[in-house]
Amino acid sequence: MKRLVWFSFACFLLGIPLASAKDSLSVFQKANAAYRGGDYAQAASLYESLLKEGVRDTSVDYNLGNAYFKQNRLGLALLHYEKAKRLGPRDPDVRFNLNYARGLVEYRIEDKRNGYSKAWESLLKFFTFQEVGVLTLFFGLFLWSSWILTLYLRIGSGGEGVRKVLMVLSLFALSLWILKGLHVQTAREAVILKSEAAVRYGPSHKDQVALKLAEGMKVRIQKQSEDWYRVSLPNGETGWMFQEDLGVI
Amino acid sequence: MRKVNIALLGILFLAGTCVGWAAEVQVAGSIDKTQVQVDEELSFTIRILGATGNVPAPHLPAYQGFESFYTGRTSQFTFVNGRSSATVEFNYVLVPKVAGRFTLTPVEVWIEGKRYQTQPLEIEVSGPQLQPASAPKPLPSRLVSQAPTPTAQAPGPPLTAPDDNVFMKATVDKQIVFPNEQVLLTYTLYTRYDTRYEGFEEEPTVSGFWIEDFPLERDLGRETVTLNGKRYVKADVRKVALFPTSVAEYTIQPGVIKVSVRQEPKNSGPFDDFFDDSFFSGASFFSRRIEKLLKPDPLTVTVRPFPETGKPKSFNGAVGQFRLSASVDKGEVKQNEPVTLKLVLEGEGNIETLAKPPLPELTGFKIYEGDSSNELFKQGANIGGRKTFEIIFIPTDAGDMSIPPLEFSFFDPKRQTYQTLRSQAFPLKVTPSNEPLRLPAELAEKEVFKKEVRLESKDIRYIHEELTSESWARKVSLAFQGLLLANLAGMGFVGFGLFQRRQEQILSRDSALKRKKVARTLAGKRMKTLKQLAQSQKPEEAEQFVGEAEKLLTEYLSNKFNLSGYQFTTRWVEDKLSEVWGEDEPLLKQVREFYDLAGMTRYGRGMLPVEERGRLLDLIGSVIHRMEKS
Repeated sequence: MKRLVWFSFACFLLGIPLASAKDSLSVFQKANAAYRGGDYAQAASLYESLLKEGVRDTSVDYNLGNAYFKQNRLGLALLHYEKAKRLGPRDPDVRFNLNYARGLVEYRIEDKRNGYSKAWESLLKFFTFQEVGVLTLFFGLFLWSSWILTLYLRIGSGGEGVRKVLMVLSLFALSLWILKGLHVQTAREAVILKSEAAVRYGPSHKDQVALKLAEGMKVRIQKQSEDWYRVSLPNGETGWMFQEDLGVI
Repeated sequence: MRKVNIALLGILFLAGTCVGWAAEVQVAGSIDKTQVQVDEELSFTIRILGATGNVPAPHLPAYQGFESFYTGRTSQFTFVNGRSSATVEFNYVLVPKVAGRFTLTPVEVWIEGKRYQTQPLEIEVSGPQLQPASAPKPLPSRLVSQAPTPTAQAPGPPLTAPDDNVFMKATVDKQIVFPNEQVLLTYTLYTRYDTRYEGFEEEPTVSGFWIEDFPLERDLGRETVTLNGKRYVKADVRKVALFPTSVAEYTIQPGVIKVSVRQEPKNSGPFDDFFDDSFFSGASFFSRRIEKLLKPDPLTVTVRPFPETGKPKSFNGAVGQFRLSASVDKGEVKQNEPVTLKLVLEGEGNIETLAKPPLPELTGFKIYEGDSSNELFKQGANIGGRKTFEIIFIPTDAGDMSIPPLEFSFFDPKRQTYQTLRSQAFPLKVTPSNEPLRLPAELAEKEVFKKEVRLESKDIRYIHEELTSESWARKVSLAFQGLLLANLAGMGFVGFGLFQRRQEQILSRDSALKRKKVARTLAGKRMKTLKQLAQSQKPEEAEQFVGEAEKLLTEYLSNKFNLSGYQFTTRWVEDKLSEVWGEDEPLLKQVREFYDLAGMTRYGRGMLPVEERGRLLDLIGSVIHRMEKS
């Protein structure tokens, strides 16, 4: 009962209609039971229904990834592990399963980005948007408090040094928050769902195939044109992929 | 016969010495060239004929315009046709640094208290003349002063300039090897000077090799060699054993070696040998030395792969010549009691990288890896040693058991073949015991006796039984919302506080503005009292009303127009208000009437009815309202 109350509250905070919270938990538990019983297709279907209801939860995507993995649907499994990682970037189970599933992808692409770019992306992906926000607001609160003490209570008027440090930390965290927001908005990624997906020179089936990618590989979406995505690979190659071949993370 | 020969030689030597004593001592100096170029070396020899006993090396005077190096002495004893002669030669190298014509002043030689000297020698040095401002001017056809000249003033040889008289060679004993086969890198110093080895200024670059340094020997085994007609002292100053780690072609940069060369001759001991020198501390601490940096040429070593034919399964990269011996500490044990198998690999090769022979699959035993230890030996030009492995076998079954032979393979580069060594099998009689399996306390403490946990298989991790929203995400979300509200409130407070502070700053600078701003606030406070008085039925309070109303309006208008109490007159206020409102404003007349009424009431001490008080209150309110609007 207590769990239901918490879940309801969480759903409320996350914008999920309160009336559906109880149902969502029930569906989640049913899906888990189906998974335990080895009915992975049923489990996947139930987890998918939760996502359709608007539930955004690391465990739902993670479990769905597991359900697809057990059905040997590597692309979908990786797609949902990636989604779970976005919601819970430091979840050890998600990271383990994601790495394990990535190891089963038939091909690999050499990442030609420089070390700085890789490190920067790793840093941004290590926290969620809301976590960076909490950090920023935390420093901000200290900064406002120090100002309030000085302005209203005339306390700590000499603490300019502390305020400067707080200002720098706040600005750093704010920059990180903004960049994280931009990253979330602009760095759209997708996982290949087809066993062999073609990357073409143009956004139509008439255009020549530039290269073929295997199920589970990850690409970055640059832009969309009707049913086609212009994608880029970590090695710098770009091309167009048919929308149905990809699952957007 | 041999004894007779030695005796005869002894007699001849004594006879010769006696003849030598009788002979007159002659001292002469000679140079091998009389015409040289700047920086071209020339040999200067002082020959002493007929001297007996120890003759100290003569000190050269400071020849200005020359670098001088003492290169050693040569002794000669001849016995020809019954006549003997003893000759000692002291050799020097002179390097002219400026052009001109010079005369080498005679060199003094003291033998048994008597003074001898060489004859003056003429030298003509050709070549580029140095700028007079930057170099000492040579004095042509003139004896150079014998006054000591500081070395720093003489242009010394460049530290890294090639010099035929002192150089370093780096050599390897093999240029084509197999991985892990020893390559001996030797650094050999060749010198004609009195030279001291000072160590490595820059260490060699030997990436791709496992390195073992040979310790520096006290006696470097110097020898004299002749190269291109010149005699050198040669000494190996460093030896390094290199073991290549993989197949490739390697270029070894041998580094930079520092030596110091003595510029002054030193006094010789009575038993100085030919080419006496000061390698490794022989020279006087106070003698003048110049440093030279020597860089041997790079070397190339090719590492070729092992032959595939005949490669044993147990081969694990060991190269050299090895022997294997094995022993167990017990032949009879109880069940669950440990037995230690000791394997010793001994021989020449890279001992440190030797791996333990692989253990066969064995049932009825629990096997633990024990300690391993190395002992290195450096014999001659080879690195070798002994490596000991300990393996703990704990029989879990009773009966006649056996520790099987262990196999070790290595590649012998001399024979170019693989060799396989096997230890013998050790039969073990295991008597039944109810004692549980337990490592001995001293072994249990050692981490090496613990087996490593190994992953048996790999799979994905299990599903999450609970929604994440219930834990971390919820906390983050709550914190985010709480902090967001707190920040917004904080921002508002700070904004308001800053605005207030700014206002205070502005008002503190402008008192008129401050009065204008506070006029309404102050009037508002007074209005509360005035309203009470307006409603009051008490005669004394009703009488106070007009006075208070006048004070209120006067104070308000004074603040608005920034007037002091002395400046305030009814007339002035009327003029000011008519300026602000205009002449036709009906309130103007009412204000005038108010002040007239206030004057009459003040002096007449009359009491106004409640309705009249209310009308005046409204009037004041209208004036304030009108003033605030304008």
